[in-house]
Amino acid sequence: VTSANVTDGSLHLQVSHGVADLEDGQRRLREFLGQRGAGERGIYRAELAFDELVTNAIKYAHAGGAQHPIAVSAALAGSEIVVVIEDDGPPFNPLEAAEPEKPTSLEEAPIGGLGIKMVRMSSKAMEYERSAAGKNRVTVRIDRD
Amino acid sequence: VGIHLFLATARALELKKAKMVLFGAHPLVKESFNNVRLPELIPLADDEDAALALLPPA
Repeated sequence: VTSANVTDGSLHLQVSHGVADLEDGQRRLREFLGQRGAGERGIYRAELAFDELVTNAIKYAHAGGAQHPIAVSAALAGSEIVVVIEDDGPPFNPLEAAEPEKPTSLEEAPIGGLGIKMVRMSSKAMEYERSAAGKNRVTVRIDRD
Repeated sequence: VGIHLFLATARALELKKAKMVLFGAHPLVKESFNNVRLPELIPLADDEDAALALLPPA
């Protein structure tokens, strides 16, 4: 994690492309949410969204190998945890990725798609927008408990 | 590193005629895996003994 701060009750992280960064980011997210009273299930689901969506952005939006930091913010809003993942790679809407059918075999199973499906099934809502600033922005809303 | 890691590893092992079995997952993780029917591709056992029982003899 190249930068981390809490402003206006929200956690803001800049994540680069290393595995250590992912682990560090997850740890900071877990601590932030835990200190604010989120439940174990909510924290797990937020970590899942962080892990799958940041990994997805690294693998697909930045497939050319260019290093673009990924911005992650998280906040508690009423009964929800809101996690926002933003990157400045080419337009990439993970929600438009074909939802994988029932897996038949390892050989035929898509490597991509299952992670996004896991996040969708554990969240209340998931939205994508291409911002006016030219960034991919995915917002995930999760029950705090 | 996401679920990609499990799928890519299990697929690479399958190409080498080897098999991967997971065990000891936290109940919340197990719930996520079951949601996407991952255990149909990579078996998920409760503990190490149960996992070893799912593997062919060495």
